[in-house]
Amino acid sequence: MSIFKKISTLDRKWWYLLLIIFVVVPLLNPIGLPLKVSAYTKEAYNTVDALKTGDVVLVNFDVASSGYDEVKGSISSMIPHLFTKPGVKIMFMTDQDQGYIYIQKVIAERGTLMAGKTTWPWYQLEGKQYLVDYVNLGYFPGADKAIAALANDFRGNVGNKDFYGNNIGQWLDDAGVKSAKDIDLVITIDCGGAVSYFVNYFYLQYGTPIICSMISVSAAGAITNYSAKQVVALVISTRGSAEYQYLSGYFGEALISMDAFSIVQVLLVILVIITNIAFYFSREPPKGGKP
Amino acid sequence: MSSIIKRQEFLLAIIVLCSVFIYVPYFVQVPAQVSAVESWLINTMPIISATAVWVGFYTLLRRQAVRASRRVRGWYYGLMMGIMSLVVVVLGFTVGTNHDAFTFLTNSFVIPGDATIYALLVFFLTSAAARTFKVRDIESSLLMIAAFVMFMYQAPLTEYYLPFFSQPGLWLQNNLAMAATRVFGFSAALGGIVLAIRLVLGKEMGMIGLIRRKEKE
Amino acid sequence: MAIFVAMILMVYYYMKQAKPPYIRRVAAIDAIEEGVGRATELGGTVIVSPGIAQNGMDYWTVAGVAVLAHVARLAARNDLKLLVPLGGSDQSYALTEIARDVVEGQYRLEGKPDSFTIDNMPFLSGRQFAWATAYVGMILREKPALDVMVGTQWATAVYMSEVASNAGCMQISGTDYLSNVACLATTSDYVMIGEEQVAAGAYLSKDPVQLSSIRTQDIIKALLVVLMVAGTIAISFGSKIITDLFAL
Repeated sequence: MSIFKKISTLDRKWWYLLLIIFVVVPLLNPIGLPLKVSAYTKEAYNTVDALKTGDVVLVNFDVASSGYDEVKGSISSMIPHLFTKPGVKIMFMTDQDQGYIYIQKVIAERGTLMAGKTTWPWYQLEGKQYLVDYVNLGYFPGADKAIAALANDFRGNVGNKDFYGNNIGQWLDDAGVKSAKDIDLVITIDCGGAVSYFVNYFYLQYGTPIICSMISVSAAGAITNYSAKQVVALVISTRGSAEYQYLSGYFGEALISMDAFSIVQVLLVILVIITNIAFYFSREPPKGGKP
Repeated sequence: MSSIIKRQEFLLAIIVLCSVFIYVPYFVQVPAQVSAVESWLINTMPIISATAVWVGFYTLLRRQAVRASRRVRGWYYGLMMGIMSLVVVVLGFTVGTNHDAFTFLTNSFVIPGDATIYALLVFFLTSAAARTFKVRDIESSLLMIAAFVMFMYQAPLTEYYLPFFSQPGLWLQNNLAMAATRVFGFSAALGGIVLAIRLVLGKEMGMIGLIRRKEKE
Repeated sequence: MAIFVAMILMVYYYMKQAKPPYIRRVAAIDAIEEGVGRATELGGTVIVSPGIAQNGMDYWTVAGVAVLAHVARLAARNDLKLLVPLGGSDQSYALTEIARDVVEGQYRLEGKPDSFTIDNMPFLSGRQFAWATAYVGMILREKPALDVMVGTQWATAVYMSEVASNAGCMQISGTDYLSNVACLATTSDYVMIGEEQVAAGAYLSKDPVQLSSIRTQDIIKALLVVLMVAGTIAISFGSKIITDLFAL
């Protein structure tokens, strides 16, 4: 059997082995390959940086364990960056049942416990304290129906209690949040399709600007929203997360994984070229004619 | 009363009324009473979704109990699933979802399982890519070229050292891919509107369990 | 709203025509019968997924249930084993009950109520990846001749279709996610793109009212294309007449 025939019929497990090696080695021994920052991520960074005192930001954690690894870089950099903006009030919410775990995770990892407190939710991060500068509204089940309900009657659906049972009615009044149109920016960390719900119910009704950090499979649809100016900025998957980490200075795993990201992309190109060459040279010529 | 509720016309009337009360206020200014009905309907949707979860949970437990009692093949897996489901529900109600026990179950079982299977996708995508991107004819050649340009544009390494792929990659993304995505969105949205019209006209009754009694061959 | 009202009027107009409107063949939908025929010859199983209903009973899931009903009727007619693994999201609990009711109804319509077994429609899991793993396990054990994946299929679609393809199944798929359509096109024998899936129920019914709704949809699409071209030409010459029309 010729070498080309062997390559074209090679068992997939050898390609998988090659993939594992080219992912694991750069992760364990980062090389420091260069990274260009895309316009989408730069715009996300600038939008967060431009927030002023009195602005109210709604951060939606549409994060599931499956997609967490793609967006954890943007979570661990965008959230602390947001917390550095003085006078900005932040409300966390989630429409995924696991979302609250990641809200707590990012604040616990980057923040510290408030004085005299021993447990959730009393953490402070970049000077912002719970129930003073930020609250966790909790889990709203129902996907698009929940977002529609919030846009329709924000205070009625949020109620007066946060996720932990603390009274937040006064906090919401002080922040000036009477309805959904009082929200100045929505940031959605998207492992599902929450950006389309926010576009439909927040942007189209109230013109609320939206930043979306999403997994790669959602990128095609989100770029359409961005191009139509329904979304002001995007942070696309691990690469966008790495760029945001670089811009904000909160370095982490996403930046480290860019070496493996680059190498695997190049490996895929080489793989496709090799299989095409092997396919071409291993084809049987048609009977009675030129190949 | 039950005979009225089971009638197709009654169910169709509910569909039409709900459609009108949700659809019309979105486009035109309506009296406050109509807006109130719209708000009530929208706010009720998450409640119905949550109720469906409980109905599903109950039927799941009942099915697994029946399978375990009959010792059907694999009954112990169903029993295990039932027991774990009940443990999580009881924990959630008693100690709450912030308790260490609940968090331990989620962090140890659910999250690693989900993340692992998601990570496996890269292997399947790799084998699909190796199989698909083969130059057989003109269309597949064009696909190959486009894929090659996009790979080169997306990888940070090649984008930095081979910057001449950026412009074609951006053009492909912002023109061809954008056009295809928008066409897909348009056609899907129109399909959705037409499906809604068929529902309102009572032609998709199979969805709510009302099968047409006479089938034309 | 004007488009919606216009569409209703157009559907009504075509309903009143004597001849049902011509609808072109959709290869992926016609292939369902071919697949069922293949399964009958091989004496095999048919496995169908109506979607994970991630957004509840939205129009994609309704379309998936319509296709499921069609496949169920064919399976009942040909005495085939029909597997419908359900689940995939916390909203899929509602779909489970509806799908079971629909499939049972199709078996009753074919005069074979005893052939329906609820054990062939297990609810696997409310989590997407757990459901997909169990689905793949069923494919590898049962080795179905036909695998139909419609409705809302997210990231796991690639995984499931690749395994089904390697197991030798004839694969017909469709999804609401554009990225997944591209992936499924590489692994499936037939793919329903865009509104083909949503129109499948109407296409398969051959009902004049439903066919007229497909015709209406195509006319509106053609009209939108004309408006887009007109708008592009107008903007090129500095006129905003079309864009102002849509801004109203």
